[in-house]
Amino acid sequence: MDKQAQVPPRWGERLLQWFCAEDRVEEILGDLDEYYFLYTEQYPEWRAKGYYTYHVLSYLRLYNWKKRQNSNNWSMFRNYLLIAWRSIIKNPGYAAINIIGLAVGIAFSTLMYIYVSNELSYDSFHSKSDRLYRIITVDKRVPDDVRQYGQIVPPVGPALVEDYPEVVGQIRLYQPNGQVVFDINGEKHQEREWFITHNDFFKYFDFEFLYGDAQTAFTSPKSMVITEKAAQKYFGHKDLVGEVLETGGYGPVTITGVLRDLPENSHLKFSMLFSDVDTNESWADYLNNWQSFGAYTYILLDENSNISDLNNKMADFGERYMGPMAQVMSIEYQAIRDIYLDSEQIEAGINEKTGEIHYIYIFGSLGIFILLIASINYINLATAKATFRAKEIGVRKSIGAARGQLAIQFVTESFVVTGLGYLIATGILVAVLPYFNAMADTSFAVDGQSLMIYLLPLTAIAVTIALLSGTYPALYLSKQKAADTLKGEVVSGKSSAGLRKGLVVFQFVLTIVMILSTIVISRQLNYVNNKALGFNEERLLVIDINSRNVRAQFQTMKNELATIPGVDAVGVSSRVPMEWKNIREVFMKSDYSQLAPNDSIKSYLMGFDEGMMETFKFDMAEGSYFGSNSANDSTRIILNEAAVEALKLTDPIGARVSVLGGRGSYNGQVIGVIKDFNFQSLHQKISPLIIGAWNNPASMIDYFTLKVNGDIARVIDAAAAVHDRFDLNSPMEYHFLDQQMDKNYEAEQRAGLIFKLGAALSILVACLGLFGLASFTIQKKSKELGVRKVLGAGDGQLFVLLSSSFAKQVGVAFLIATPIGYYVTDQWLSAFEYHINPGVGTFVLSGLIAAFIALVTISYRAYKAVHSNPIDSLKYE
Amino acid sequence: MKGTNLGEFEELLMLMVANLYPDAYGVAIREAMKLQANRSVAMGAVHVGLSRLEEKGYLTSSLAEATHERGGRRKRLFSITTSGKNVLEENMELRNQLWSTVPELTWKNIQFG
Repeated sequence: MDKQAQVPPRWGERLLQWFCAEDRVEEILGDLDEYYFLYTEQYPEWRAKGYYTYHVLSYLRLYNWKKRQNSNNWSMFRNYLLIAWRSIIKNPGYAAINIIGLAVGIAFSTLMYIYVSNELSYDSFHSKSDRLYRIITVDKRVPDDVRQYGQIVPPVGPALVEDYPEVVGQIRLYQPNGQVVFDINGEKHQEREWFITHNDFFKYFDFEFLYGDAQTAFTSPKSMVITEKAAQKYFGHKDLVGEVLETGGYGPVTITGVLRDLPENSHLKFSMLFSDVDTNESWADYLNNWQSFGAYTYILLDENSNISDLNNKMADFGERYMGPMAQVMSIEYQAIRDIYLDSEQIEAGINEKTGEIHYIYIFGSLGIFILLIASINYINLATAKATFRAKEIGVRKSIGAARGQLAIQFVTESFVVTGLGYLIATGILVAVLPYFNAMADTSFAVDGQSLMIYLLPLTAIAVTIALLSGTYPALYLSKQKAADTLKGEVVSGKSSAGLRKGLVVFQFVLTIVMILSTIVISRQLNYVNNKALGFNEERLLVIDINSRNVRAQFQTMKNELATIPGVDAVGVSSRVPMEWKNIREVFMKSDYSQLAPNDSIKSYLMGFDEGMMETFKFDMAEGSYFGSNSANDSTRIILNEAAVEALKLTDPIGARVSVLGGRGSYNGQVIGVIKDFNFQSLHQKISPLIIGAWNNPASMIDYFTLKVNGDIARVIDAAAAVHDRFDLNSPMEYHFLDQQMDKNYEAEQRAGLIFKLGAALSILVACLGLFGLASFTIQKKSKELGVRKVLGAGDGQLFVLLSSSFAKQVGVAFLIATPIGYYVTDQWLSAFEYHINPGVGTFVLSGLIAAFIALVTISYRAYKAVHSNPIDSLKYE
Repeated sequence: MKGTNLGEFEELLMLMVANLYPDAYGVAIREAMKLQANRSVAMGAVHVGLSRLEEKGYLTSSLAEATHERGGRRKRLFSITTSGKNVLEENMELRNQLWSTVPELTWKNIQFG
């Protein structure tokens, strides 16, 4: 812990020195300092600050209030507050518009602030996070397709520690198998989020222990640590230290620690960690072998070194251990705090959930926009109202108020209004957080102490908005000449009317962009969910093959699965289209191709059996599919149209194609061409794909897929019964393909929801403002309307008169919003290879919606004004 | 002022002060409150309570030496006065007396739920 961190924030000291009576302040601040010191030793800095804030605020009560000498300022201030309150009471409608708008704005932008700052805070809770780096592999074997992996060759870590003194230590996480299976009270379970690692893990990463101890958790062989959540799930209680887990692969393992639930903002997610102390022989082989691959490796750098110095020293590192291989395979370092947001290009990473920086920009701007809109409402209504306050300003000025004092008065008013909005916003925030959590898949705590932490940004936002919206009206109102206002000359406010129009246009621009984006997002997500993929994806039950025994007897098991009532067809394959795991990549070349000799094309490869056709209902373009005589089929291949095109085969049927890479290269003969279907998410283009037979030399079967046509629950039970007879170790692991497919678009779905919420709220707030402004202008024009009506103007004409200026503003806003909206939506859509093309219609539609909303908003007031009796407005003079 | 009545929280505070003598000051009292009474209260509440009790004359205080972790500030040590002791005793006696006169039947006929 460095010295810096122990000094509490200065503002607390200043605030209390100003607030509290002198004779108490010393002991109070002393106690607070001491507490802060205690907290920084127990908690991360941000939490210590939160608690500190909580305690500081707890002193702000009247009992501690310092008796002040200068009472005149205070009574003046009280008068400002009183006037502010009266003006709220006098115009409850305007006040409500402002307060509700501000409350919604403050609440929503605080939500966005919490969300964005959480996204930006990933992995910063580790006290050593500025010195922790992940090692990634850079693969340059194909020069124009450089790839990065989150995994590396396992012995690299220790070699770095050995060779470079600035590397203090390293941590490897690895998984010899995809899942660990274990037995609790006779019931089989399996867990996929598990790793084997070293004791130093807990030294470098600050995961908190609920039970057990970080120092000793992994010091004895056969020990493991489990998370609170997994403990609850598998055991039903949490205090598991000392209990023994019967695992399938590693025998009995003792639980030595239970971790508190992993922080939301950790890129590392796991349920179980096993100690590598007992050095299982096969693990040791794997870890020391420069030919193996797959360990996730982190290094801790010395305090006084930096990563670029280390990089500079490492020119010969790869050569030393890997020889010529180092030419094409190298390593790079990635700061641990960058992993979450900057791993889009990195394959096989440990983090399934990555953040996207452009969503952070979007949500950040959304938060700011809604605040701007609410502020604009305040500015517009306050300057418009100036007319009615003119006399007050005149009187104040003539009895000696300086301009500054008046300005302070009006700023005070904006603080009062914002303050009320702020109180409501706090309530909204508390009420809404649980729903937001569910919607955004976050877990922001809603208990008292966490709220104290949110209170700081909430307050900051409220103060900003109060200043933002209070300053201009204050300057504008205090500028008026006393004589004019008292003579009864109404403040004309030409400049302020222009400003109001400008601001309304600005609000409409934002509104139209948001309406447009909402339409585009919904249509795209709809498109993604409904696009024809080239096969029938409904009611497909995918069962993982997790055992050698199943693989060996798959034909028998498949036959048994097929006899289950309600199962229409069963296919066996190495990968499943639209699936979520890495698909094997190979290279293909052919003498039949029109390409330059020896030119090879990258392609994906999957192995299918004959049942896949009936299960997925693919379409063939030409040739035939695999038959039931599998011995002949093993080297036969089927290409998709993209592969035929990439290889430039004029007459594909019968062509010989070499399949290079994979588990074993082979020469295949093309027997058919399958129509292109989407086998990856719609973010990606349909790439060349080779479909080999199930028994092709390059891949291995991994899945059964069942086409279900009946009671799904019953089919699952029956399938599990079949499965358990063939696989004695692990429980059946199954998914529904359509649900897995939805996961591809989860980020977009979530973002879409948040965005829609933000858009709806901004539009609501903008409408409130427009309603207020319209009521005001109409009120000011009531005499004009009366005169016109007396002179014979019709209702329709008057209505047009009232709404035309708003219509013009919407028009101008539409012109400005269109290019902005085009740019924004185009950016978002470009993340999808397959996307809709929003035509002119979409843009016009969003403009029309905005115009319609505006019209509806003002028409209530306009209608009332038009239908009022002219006598009412004309009889007073 | 409520006269000589002690609130429940105030009584707790005074007992804490008595227990912690001679080291009863804000932080120590709050910590003891948390550990022994399992009550997590804000510092502000503790301080105000102590000051009120001092005003009522049940507590007296003096400033002690400064320490490093307090940013070089002195702490205020509280101790019980004679009237403080008296009021605590009165409270205890009243309670004891009330306890001793509760009829047996009360406990026998407690309804659960």
